Amino acid sequence: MSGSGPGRRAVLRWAWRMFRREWRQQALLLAMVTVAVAVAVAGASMAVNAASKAEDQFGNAGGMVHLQPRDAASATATVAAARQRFGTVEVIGHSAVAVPGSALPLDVRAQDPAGVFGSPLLALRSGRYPERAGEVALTDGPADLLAARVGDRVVLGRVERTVVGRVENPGDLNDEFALVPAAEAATADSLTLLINPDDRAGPVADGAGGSSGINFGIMVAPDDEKVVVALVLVATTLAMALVGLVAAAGFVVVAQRRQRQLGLLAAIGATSRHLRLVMLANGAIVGAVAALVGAAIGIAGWVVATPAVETAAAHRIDRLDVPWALIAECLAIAVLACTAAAWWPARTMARLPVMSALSGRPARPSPVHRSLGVALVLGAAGAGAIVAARPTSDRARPLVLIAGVLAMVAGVVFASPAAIRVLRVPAGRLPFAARLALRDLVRYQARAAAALAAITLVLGISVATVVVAKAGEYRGDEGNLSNHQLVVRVGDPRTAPDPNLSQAERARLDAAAATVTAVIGRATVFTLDAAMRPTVAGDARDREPISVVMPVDQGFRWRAFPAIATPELLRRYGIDPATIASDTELLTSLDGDVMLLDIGTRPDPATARSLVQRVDLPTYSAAPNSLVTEEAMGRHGWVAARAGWLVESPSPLTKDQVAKARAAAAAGGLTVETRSGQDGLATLRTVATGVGGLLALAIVAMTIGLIRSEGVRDMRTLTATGASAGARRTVTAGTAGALAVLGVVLSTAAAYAALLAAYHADLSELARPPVGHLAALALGLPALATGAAWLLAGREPATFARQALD
Amino acid sequence: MSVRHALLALLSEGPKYGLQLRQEFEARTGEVWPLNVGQVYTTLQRLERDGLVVSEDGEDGPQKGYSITADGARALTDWLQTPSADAQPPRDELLIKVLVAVQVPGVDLHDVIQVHRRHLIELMQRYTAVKADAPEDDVALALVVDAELFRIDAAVRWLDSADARLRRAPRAAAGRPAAPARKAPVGRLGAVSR
Amino acid sequence: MLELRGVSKVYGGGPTAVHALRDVGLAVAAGELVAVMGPSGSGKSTLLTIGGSLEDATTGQVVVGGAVLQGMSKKEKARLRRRAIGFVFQDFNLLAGLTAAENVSMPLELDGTSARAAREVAMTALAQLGIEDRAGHFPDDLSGGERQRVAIARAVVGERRLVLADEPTGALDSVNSEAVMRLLREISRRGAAVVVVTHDAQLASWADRVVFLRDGRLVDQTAAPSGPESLLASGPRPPA
Repeated sequence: MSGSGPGRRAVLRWAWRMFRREWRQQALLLAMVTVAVAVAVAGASMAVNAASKAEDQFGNAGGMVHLQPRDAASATATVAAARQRFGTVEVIGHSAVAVPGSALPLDVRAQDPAGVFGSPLLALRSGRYPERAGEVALTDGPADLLAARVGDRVVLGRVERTVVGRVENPGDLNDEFALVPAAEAATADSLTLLINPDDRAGPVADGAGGSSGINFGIMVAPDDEKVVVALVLVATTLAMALVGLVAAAGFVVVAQRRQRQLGLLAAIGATSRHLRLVMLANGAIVGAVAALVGAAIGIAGWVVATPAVETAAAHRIDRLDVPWALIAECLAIAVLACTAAAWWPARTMARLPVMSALSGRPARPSPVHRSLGVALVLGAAGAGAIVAARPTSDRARPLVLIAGVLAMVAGVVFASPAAIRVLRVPAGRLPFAARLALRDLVRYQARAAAALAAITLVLGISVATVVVAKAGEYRGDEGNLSNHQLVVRVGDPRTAPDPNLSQAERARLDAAAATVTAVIGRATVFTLDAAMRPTVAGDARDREPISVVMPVDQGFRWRAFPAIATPELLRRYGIDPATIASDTELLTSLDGDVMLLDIGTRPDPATARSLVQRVDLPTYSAAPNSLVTEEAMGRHGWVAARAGWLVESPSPLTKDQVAKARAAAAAGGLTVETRSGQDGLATLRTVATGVGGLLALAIVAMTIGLIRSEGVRDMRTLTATGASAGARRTVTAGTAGALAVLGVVLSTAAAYAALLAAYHADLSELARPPVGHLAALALGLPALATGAAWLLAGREPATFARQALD
Repeated sequence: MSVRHALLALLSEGPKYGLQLRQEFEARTGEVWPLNVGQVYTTLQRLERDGLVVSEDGEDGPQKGYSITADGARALTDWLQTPSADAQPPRDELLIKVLVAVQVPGVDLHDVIQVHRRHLIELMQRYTAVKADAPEDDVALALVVDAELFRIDAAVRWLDSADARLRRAPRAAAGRPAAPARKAPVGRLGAVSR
Repeated sequence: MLELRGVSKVYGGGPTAVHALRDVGLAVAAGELVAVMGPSGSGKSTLLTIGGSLEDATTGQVVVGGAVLQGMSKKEKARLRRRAIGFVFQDFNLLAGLTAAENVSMPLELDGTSARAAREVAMTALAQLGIEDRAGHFPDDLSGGERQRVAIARAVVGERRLVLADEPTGALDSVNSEAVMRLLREISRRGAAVVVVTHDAQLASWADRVVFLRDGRLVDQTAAPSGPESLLASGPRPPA
């Protein structure tokens, strides 16, 4: 009946009482877990709320279609066709209107504020929505530009309107437009149809003759939130694994402190299960208390930080929109991590012979070769999983990645005892005090190994961050462009290039682009030409460049506009024309089942395919990530249209250069696209690196504090036998230094193992190690740890005012 | 503790008859101090002769009443305050036997010591049984028994230490001819037996 | 109640092996109080821990209440300790954080008795030892003598038939020591087999039988106790 209810309850009661009695000795642990939970909770709230959701772009709709109808009749027919096809369709009209003093035209938007799908995309800040023709509501940007307040009259596209309100898109505060009544959509230049593509499946019923584009232009609302939630969970799991390791070191100390009590409990008839339960319960209690307090702090922090997040994320955030389920998951992970952290000491204690426990003898360490074997197996499995997870590609498998990282972490844990044992080797040849420090680390192997594992993990994360940040400086593939690049476009990104430009017009554009490029200085320029279906000269309607798309259920999902593969571009990206197969149509770095799409041919999504060859192009969304071969151009009879120029500077572009380029482009009727948000990402990296380093130091300090508090008895003996402060300092500093050095060596090895696995496809990324940062870690941390320990250990050891009952 | 002083102590509580004195004496010292009736009366006569107690008129016997005099009270106080001259160490003979055993070849000293130890502990068991069976508030009995127990305990402890000492030097104790260092115990033996 | 048959215990191996017990045979009947005496390192405590299932004998057999310890699983031994064996150690007996009553009821609760029922039994045990008024106190607030009484109460609670005490009065003065021994004697009179390990002759003299250990061997024991009347024959003085 060892597992009987009353027995378990009695053991749990004792664990709770012991926690209440001795929680101060676990205060460091509690504080650390609490902070981790608070950060996780606040971070989860921010991440989920800051991430742009599908709603921010799609409202309540599941998809949208952009149209540039030829005329009002065609528009009506197309909308009717769409209604028939998808049921409910909400029409939003866009007309680009030039605004004096602005390079970009203003989007005059005809939208129903109470629309079924689109209502989340509109919010009223002041005044009212436009209801009659001749009324308009403005967002902040144009209102400031036009110096228009409610009641003023403004001229937009030769129509004079009365400003009746101030509006915004809560999902995108950077979305600037002028809102007019929905009825004006009928005369708009282009239309956005908000639809729910899953509403009705069925054969395509076409509208008016010609290409309506309905079948092809559907953009399906991405399920980004799931990705964010998954990322937050990954981050929380990793953070808690780290915290759990440090907690394990703490719990080993707690267990040793309670060793005799546990022995006594065994003597009066507790089973191994009861003994384990005591320690596990302690872990769970620490986790639960920290989770509760941390959640409270985290939510408070979130409420305080909301306005800042709103500004940064550029969309409205509801303070009460806390992701409760996600937070509950984070808290559960915290409790689980702490309980799991207590498992190791719990198992050790439960296995200890009763008499050894009663007499306070330390447990006999398990054979090292076994744990080292387990470490190697886990490390190899982890690296394998990371390779399989393809973290640097589009089709990363996050769950496999988590499993791989966790396996690596577990490998580090199992490698730690062996690393600690290594200290025996130099110990014999060192002076007395240092020898004592190393011997003690070896003697209390369980405690030291847990501490080392924690230090290693936190350092490993720092090393990985630093290395990745360094690699990212040369190829940060996220975002639209690198910070060395800008793209000069013909017109704004929404208008398609015209293949039928006259020679004079083309020359004017080239000249304008040259003035923009001149602003940058020493820059390399590549022309980007779009592939187009030949159209009748002068017809500006229904022009769509050839796109790279991915077939989805009922249509295609747009991925990119390809550029035409010029010899310059091929050379720029190191692609040898000889390696391109003669029938290849598309060169791309995009993953997935991509193909070239010419809307005019209206292919069947189920069968259409292109001949695709994967090449090592950048994966930026605005730089050429896909190239159309001359072969494809010829085969399909496509023509080239000047779309823009890629300008590459040898050094990162400055704000000043970008501003000048914008001005020059506006003057020439061009637009400029530069890397968006790179500052935020760069800051993020810096902060992550700094926080990682600080955390590592804190953990080293805490570990040394733990070990030192346990070594007080030895210290007292040392002092009693006449050891000077210097000897005491050396012992403590030796302990700290040895742990830090081992931690740096292990962590660098583990981090590089993980990174090699992650970047196995292109090891050149790791070819430039961040020597400065790594040297700072490898030399600085041990030096700092040793120095701090030396300084702190000078005091005479304080006697414990009241020892526990032993 | 003499019978004389015990009787004075009993009388200091108030006048008592001879028979009463005898009964109380027995009740307080218990079985460990058997006493014959005559001893009480002869001692009382001597006390009266020395002027430490006075008796009622009448014939001698159980019914005769006695009470303490001022001299008697002073004598009792003096005696109580005089440190007892413990002139006869109880383990002399034990010591002699062990020392003799050291000299005799072929004797296992530990066995000799163990025999004595067992004997002493059996004796202590008997004393403790007296204490254990008596009511816990019988302080006088407990004090008497404890006195004996501590005395015997001292002997046991001496045996323990002798045992340990002899174990640490088994060869020297096994009867090698007396080295100069060994002279001291022998000399002491002489002194003790003087 | 407790029987050791040819029990030996060797710690370590090879040339550094320590023989803590050599071929020890000892039987302790219900209602008997046995003291184990011997110098330090004679194997006294080992005898107790082996008899109490805390350690395994290297060779020989240990029988507690008719059950043979050899071959028992850890779990079965734990159950035996909850139900049949009570321990009293020298100076470390109580779980901090639990009140006196909770300490006493712990073995019962571990064995599956409900907290309420266990508490009632514990209170009875404390009352028998005269410390029911300290039931709600924590070990920190109890004197040394009170702690040992609580420990004894825990050792006997729930019809335990074998009580093993290792220097149970080690940290106490003589009056408290005597009180503890008196309690152990009472317990044995009520039918428990009690084994006390001590090096103190005065404490050992409380036992019905004293066995002497030397270098791990059982070398001697006192004869069956004679009554007080035997003192009259031998006189008040130590043997001359």
